Order: sequence, then structure tokens, then C-alpha cells
Amino acid sequence: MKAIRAIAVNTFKEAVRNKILYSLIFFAFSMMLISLVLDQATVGQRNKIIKDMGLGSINLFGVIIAIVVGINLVYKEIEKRTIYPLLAKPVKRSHFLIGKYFGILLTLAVETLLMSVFLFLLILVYEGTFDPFLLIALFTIFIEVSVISALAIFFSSFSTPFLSGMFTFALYVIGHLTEYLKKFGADSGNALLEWVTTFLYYLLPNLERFNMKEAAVYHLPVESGRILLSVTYGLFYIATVMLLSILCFDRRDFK
Amino acid sequence: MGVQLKNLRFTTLYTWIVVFSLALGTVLSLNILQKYQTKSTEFLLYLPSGKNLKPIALGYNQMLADLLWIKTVSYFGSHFMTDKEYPWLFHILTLIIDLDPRFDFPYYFGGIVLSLEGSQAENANKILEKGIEAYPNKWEYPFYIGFNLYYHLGDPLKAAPYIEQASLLPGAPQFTKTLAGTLYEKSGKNNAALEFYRGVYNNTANEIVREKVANRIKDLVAKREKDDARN
Repeated sequence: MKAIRAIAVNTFKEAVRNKILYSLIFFAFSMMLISLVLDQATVGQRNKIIKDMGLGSINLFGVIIAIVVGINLVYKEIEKRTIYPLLAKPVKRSHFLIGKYFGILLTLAVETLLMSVFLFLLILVYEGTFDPFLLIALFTIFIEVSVISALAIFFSSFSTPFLSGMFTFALYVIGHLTEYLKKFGADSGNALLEWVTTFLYYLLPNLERFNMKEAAVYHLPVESGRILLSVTYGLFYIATVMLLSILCFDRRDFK
Repeated sequence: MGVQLKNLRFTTLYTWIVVFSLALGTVLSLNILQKYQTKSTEFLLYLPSGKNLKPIALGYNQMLADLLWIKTVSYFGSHFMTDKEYPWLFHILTLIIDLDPRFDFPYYFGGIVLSLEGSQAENANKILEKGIEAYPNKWEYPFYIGFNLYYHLGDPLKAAPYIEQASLLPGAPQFTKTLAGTLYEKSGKNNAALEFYRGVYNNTANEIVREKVANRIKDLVAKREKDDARN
């Protein structure tokens, strides 16, 4: 446990030192500020645009950070050969990977928190109120980026950063289309195709389950069961992917 | 040392001249390029329908709808100031509504502007029908459909049920309660008008409306009796 904590804290420190992270956060802030300009160029429901752009920026840049940081962490350790002295110590490979994952989560949590505070301040200045509904969307965005990070770690446990990035991004895109995939199979009338699409539906991450931006912006009622089940689904998916990552990483030869 | 400094200054000056020339070239070429630029909204023609665009939006459909909405406002503004023709307004509004059905301003905008400014009352009503789907409790959308049908398309018979629907929704102004009956009467459907007025009379607490409706009921009953006696 101590080893996991030490690796997580170290990963966080390493990520914080990364200049790419700052530039991404800067772009997210800029996008949120742009919403103020866009807001002036429109008519009707102006606050909505600020909230949509804010949540969209936090989500988009959260995903980019999760992929960029996630795919490089393990690879860097191997490339710089810093993994050898680490694994020579009584640190299991699984602990190393879990520590790395928690490190990314900590980075993403801080980044999401920073951007959320900025968004809330913008809304407070513009609208004069605090909108607690946005917290639901921000929380589920964090779960979504946590799933993306787990996938990035999984691919980077056996592949190069470029390929890991491509695979993770592809899964991010497909993750928003799985409902359509299932519907496509069900509408096809072909039993085999329906079986294949249903199988893929459960295998691939269903990231639309974490999309509660609409409910948050329009103040639509969200059942607590829906949030709880989305979190449970996310945790199960992350645990499965991390276990597979550990299996791959355990068998990896570092020669 | 002096020669070196002179050379350095010359090089710096030379570099600045090159930078300035390149920047000038950039501005000039961009200026000329603007002549070849297609109309800013034309790219929207190549966008698929909102329902197909939604999966591609990857969960950012609201953000995309906002950007398209800003584009719509600028499209409307530029054509309002020039030719007052809006051939793509309906298409853009449909995209926005399909991407973000809860965004209510495009329904109002489409429902009113398409019919009043664009002479596209049928398209305006298509937008408003979607508005009723998204917000079944808003009286404005069926009311605008009724208005478009009566005022722009000259069909009081089709307009009356929409006004009736609007009059039954929360927040509907009192005048809608008599307007539907008037439209039924105008289209020669006195029995429907009578039925509607009786419904309003029994369900409205407002005394002014009840009095007006009672008078209309009296007139219609008298007219019916007269017709029956004649037949």
C-alpha cells in the first residue's frame, strides 16, 4: 500500500512538472473565456452557452490530458530505464501499475477541480448564482476520464505511446457510439450480427452513460439510482481493465 | 569588434525587413483569398441531418448546437440586412433542434421568424411540432402553429384545434380560450365551437371569460335553433 501511494504521489509530481499539462489547462481556460465572447454574439439563453462550453471544455481537455499523460507514463519509465531499480525493490509490478493509475487520477482530479472552480466563478460573475446542478455533470465527467485513463494505461502496458494513443482515442470515439452499434445490430434482423453487436456493446466502454451535461444544464431531474449505477459501471469497467493491464504488464519482458 | 557590431545590426535589420515583407505578403494573399471564399453558411449544406450528426458529436451535441445557433443568428442577420431570403434557415434550425432538443429558443425563433420573415409557414410549423414534442406543456408552440395556419396559410379549420390545445395548457392567456371557438365558427363548424365554448365555460373560473363565452353560447344556440326551424 505504501509503495502504491509513493508511486502515485511521484506520478502526480511528474505530471505536474509536465509543461503539456499546463498548456492543455490554459487552452481549457481560454475556451471557457471564449464562451463569454460567443455569448455576446447570440440571442436567447445566454447562460446556457457558457455552461455548455464550460462543461464541454472540461470534458474534452480532461480526455486529452488522460490520454496524453496515460500513454506516456509506463513507456517513459521503460525508456529511461528508471523502472529497473524500482522493480528491483520489493515492489510488485501490479503495485507499480496501480500506483501509476492513482497518480493519473490525482492529476485529473486536481485538473478537473481547477477548471470547475474557474467555471463556477465565471457563472457566478455572469449570472450571480451558484449552479449546483453542474456538479453532477462534473462528477460523471471525472468518472469518464478515469475510464479513459485506465484504457490508456492498459494499452501502454504492452504497446508504444503512439499506438496506445490511437487505440485509446479510437475507444473513446466508439465509446460514444455503442448504443447506436447495438441498435444497428437489433435492427439488422440478422441473428449473428445482433449477437456480435451485443457482445461489442458489453465489451466496449459505454461512455454515453457518463454524459449528464444535458441534465445539468437544463436542470432536469436525475435519479440517484442512475448516478449510482453509472459510477458502479465505471468502477467495474476500470477494475476489469486495470486487472487486464496488470496481467499484460506482468508478462512483459523488459530486456 | 565595430565591424562585427555593424554586421549584427545589418543582419537584424535585414531579418526585420524579411519578417515585415512576409507579414505583408500574408495579409495581401489573405485579402485576395477572401474574394474566392464561399458564403459562410454554405458548409452547412454538407452537414448531415441532426439525427446523424448527433452520434458524430461524441457527447458534445449541446456545444455543437450552440455553435450552430451562433451561426444561425449571424446567417439571419446578414440576410435580413441584404436580400431578406433565408433558404437554409430551416435546415440549420432543424440541425440545432435535433442536436439539442431542450434548447427552446430555436423553436420560438423558427416558429416566428420562418413564417413572418421567411414566408415558410409550413416549415415554421414543422419546427413548432418538434417544440411540442420537447415541451408538451408550453402553450406558445401550439398557439404559434394555430396562428401560422390561420394567418399565413388561411386555414381556420386546421388552426382551431391547435389554439384549443394551447388554451388548455398552463399559463395560456385568457384570449386563447375564446379564440379557438371563434376559429371554429369562422370555418363553419358551429357545433365544434359550441362544444368548445361549453368546455371553457365549465372549466374556467375567470368571470370575464365566462361571461363572454356564455354570450357566444347563447348566440350559437339561437342560431342553431333558427337553422333547425328553417329546415
